[in-house]
Amino acid sequence: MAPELMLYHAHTACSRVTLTALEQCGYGYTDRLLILQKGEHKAPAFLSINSGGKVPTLLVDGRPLVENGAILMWLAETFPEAGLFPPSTSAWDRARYMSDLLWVSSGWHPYVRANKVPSMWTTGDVEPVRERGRELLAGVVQQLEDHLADRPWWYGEDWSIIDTYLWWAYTNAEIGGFSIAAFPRVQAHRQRHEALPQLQRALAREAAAVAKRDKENA
Amino acid sequence: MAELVLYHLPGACSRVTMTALEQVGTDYADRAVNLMRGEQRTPEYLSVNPRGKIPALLVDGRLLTENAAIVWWLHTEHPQAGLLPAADAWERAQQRSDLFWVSSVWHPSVRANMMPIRWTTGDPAPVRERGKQLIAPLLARLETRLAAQPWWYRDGWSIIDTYLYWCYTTAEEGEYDLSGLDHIADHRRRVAEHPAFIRAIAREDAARRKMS
Repeated sequence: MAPELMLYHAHTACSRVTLTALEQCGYGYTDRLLILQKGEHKAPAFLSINSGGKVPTLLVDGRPLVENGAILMWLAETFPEAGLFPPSTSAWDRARYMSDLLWVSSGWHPYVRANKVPSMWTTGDVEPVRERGRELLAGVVQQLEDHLADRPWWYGEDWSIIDTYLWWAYTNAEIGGFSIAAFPRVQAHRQRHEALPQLQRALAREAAAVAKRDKENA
Repeated sequence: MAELVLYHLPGACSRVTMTALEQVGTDYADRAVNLMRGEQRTPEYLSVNPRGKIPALLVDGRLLTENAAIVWWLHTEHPQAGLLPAADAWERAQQRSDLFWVSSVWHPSVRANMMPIRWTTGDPAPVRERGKQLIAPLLARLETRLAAQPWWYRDGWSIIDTYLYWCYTTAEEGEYDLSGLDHIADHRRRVAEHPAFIRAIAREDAARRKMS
């Protein structure tokens, strides 16, 4: 039975990774963009779907699944031919993919937030939090730079959704003013990544959703 | 039989991993990494785990990192151990979602409260205050859920209960006041009586004695 999929997402949020995964799966889905600046993710209508008030949230036949990493793993299980991860036959491989997703979601993502939206981590002066965010980012971006020494993509010769998650993290670090200029392999990774059709389709879909909401609100 | 080595620190979230290993009942070695002395950044440890974090599990010399991924792997290898309830594909996705939630939302918020210097180069006080603001709604959600059932999942204890216990007791160490959260107080007593948890605490105590 083909499930009906509906994604709640937001402009430039990490739901961009989920959109790219859905585009890669090539399976029809609808989407609804929430305007976080208007607090739509904290409105009662959305909280009744996801009490944590977060995007991405994927509805599967009306049932919510939350947390980006968990959604990506479910999509990989449901659409194995899409190649979101390298082919795996062992529980060990799948645990390693989960480990990498957790590394981004519980490491990179909070660091990106400290740098880009430091008020998320303090009630006081934001500058020392931003500065600390950059220190933390420098550590993980260097780990990525080292990892890419002998390979174009995270897992080797082929793209996986981890590449998109990392791309989202370092480009959002850049939006927050963290320069990746000193990391040539990361820059090359970015160029390769931005040429991918599934990313371009996801960005187009996100832009269309933004335009639609602008029109609704005009 | 795989040879398992857990790198941990008594009191850190590796306590959850250790509880999972105790629940599985398999043999494993444990090696404490003294973060207070910066041992996670020594060449010896970075050769084990280049990310310099704990917990880390070596399985026949192969590395697995991230608490939730280790717990998930142990669960898939030992489904009869009951780390998580038996589940269909959709329920498994929800279980993984819960693991991601605790590690990516609870844990960084607890860190802001307990170790605010992790999130700032300046005055830790406003970061600690923000941590408390972030923890409050998470605890409120947990309190509501535990009003209806004794454990996170209806079926009984799971490793999620221990992970949540670690979060709220660590918040308390960061001077978060848990009073008034009566269902969490009851949950805390139940989790603390779980045999695998009691064994993990004893093992941590032994490791702590060796460290000092």
